[in-house]
Amino acid sequence: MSKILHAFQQHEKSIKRIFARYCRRHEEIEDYTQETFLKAFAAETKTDIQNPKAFLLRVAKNLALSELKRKVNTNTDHIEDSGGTEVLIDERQVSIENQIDGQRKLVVASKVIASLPEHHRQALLMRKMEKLKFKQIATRLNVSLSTVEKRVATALVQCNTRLREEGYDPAEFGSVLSAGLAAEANSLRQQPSPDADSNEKTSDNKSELESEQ
Amino acid sequence: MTTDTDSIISFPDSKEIEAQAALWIMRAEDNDMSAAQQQEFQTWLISSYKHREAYTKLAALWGSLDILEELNDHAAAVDHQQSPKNTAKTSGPTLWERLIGLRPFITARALSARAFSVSAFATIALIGILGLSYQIINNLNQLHQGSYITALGEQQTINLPDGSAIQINTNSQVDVTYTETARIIRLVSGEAYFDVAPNKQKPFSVYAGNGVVTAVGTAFSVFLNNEKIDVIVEEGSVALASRPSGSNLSETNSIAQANSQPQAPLGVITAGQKAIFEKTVESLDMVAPATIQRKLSWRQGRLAFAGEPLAEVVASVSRYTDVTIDIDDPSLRELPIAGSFNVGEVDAMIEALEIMIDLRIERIGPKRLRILRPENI
Repeated sequence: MSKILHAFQQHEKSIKRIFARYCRRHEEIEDYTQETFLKAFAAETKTDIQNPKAFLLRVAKNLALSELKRKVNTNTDHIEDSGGTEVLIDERQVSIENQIDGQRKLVVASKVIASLPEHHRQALLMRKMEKLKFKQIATRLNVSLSTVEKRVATALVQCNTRLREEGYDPAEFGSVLSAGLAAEANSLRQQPSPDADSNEKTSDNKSELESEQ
Repeated sequence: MTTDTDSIISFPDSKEIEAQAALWIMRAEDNDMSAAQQQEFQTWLISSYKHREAYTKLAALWGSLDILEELNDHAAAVDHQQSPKNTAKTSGPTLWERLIGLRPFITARALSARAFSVSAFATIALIGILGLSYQIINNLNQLHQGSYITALGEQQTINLPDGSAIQINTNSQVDVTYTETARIIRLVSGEAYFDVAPNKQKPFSVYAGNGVVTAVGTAFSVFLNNEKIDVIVEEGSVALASRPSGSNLSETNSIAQANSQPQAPLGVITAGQKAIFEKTVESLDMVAPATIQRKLSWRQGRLAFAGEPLAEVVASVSRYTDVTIDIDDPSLRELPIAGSFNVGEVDAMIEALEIMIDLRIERIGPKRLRILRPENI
């Protein structure tokens, strides 16, 4: 199990208390808490974290502070920009749901992976996060190609088992996610290009999206 | 390998199957499977429904783990947060913004570039998964497909993934299509011997000309001799049927429809019987085991005769060579011949006829011979 996951499980309540100072809704607190884990775990994949508890709490505080600032900024910006963006907002909301859905899945996947033994987690992340080929991983870890394949294969089977234990259908976990990604890919086409009038572009792309459905 | 697969089917261990499935997914990932490994993978995949199920499920999960790439963004966001100069503005959309859907237009534009790179990767990965699933579906519907052709004088043995084997005689073509529900063989031309692994759920049907020879578990040979179908059953039994003429399976693709085409059942023949049929059964003989062995001696690379007329011997020999052999004298055609020859050695065979049977062989051209009575008789 990764140090961050271990620390997170021990200090989840402390992290939640940090966000409870800034938000009232339980759901919001939960989301920020999970995002804290995600950021800390993502950082852990890049560097060795010496004091996981302190690191988690710092990430949580920074997140809370920046969210607080942003709430203020966003309100200001919204007032300035409120004219002519209504269509855009409506459409974006679809992809926003997907993004949140995607983020929750990323949290679930990250927690499952964080719970794997070091060797397996490392090989799987090199493959899926860094997008390295098995041969490259073998060179980096100085092990044989078949060892890498075995480690990643074992990691995949372990993910499958843990997801089932957590009450997810591993196969469905994939398909729901894929559907979300497809919708996100579609919604991307609606993003206006910088030199075009936003409303016109939006309606163009809207019809393109409809014709695809 | 067959025994391995058998033991896996008899004692299914889902953990073990999952481990194997995962390993195959990895080997398939970077496309560096050897031909032998691909064959092994195919065999593994079709040998059990449990294997396919495990493979499909784990492949779906494997594809969905591409989401981990997004961790890169989150790691970057933490880096920014840790340096005091770069605060919130560069670290992407916040949960709050996403929840309420209020995002300044300019920011949305900046963000879309980042979102695009993530989603572009995700989409590419998705296409990869779709390609993989298509392959799997394809594998499920059509588990094995192949076309095997032997040249003149050549013989070939095909070991099929279900344990059946086809031994293909000279100058023949056999197309094989295995589906979930049937094993369909098309003998396009020539002769083949089929050793069929028993499977009642999946009949093994040999389509030859306008006839169909269907077996469940047996060993038999089929020879498409002009339009006539010559069947010898060595073990078990086979059902004969004819199909309307003009419904020739000209394309391998149409084989899939073969099952739905009307067939007129002609009856069942059992071990030790030899039938020649097309629209109807034209001849049905009990054949002594020794005769069957001789008729099928080509399987051991030999041609054996025990008193067959010379015309028949010449017809048999001709199947292994591009040399045309003429017999002008009608009285010679009935001359009984006994002997056994190696299939590949056509010249030696001709020479043996010349010396042993005391016939005169006249070489008319490089590819043409004539058999004559010795001049002094």
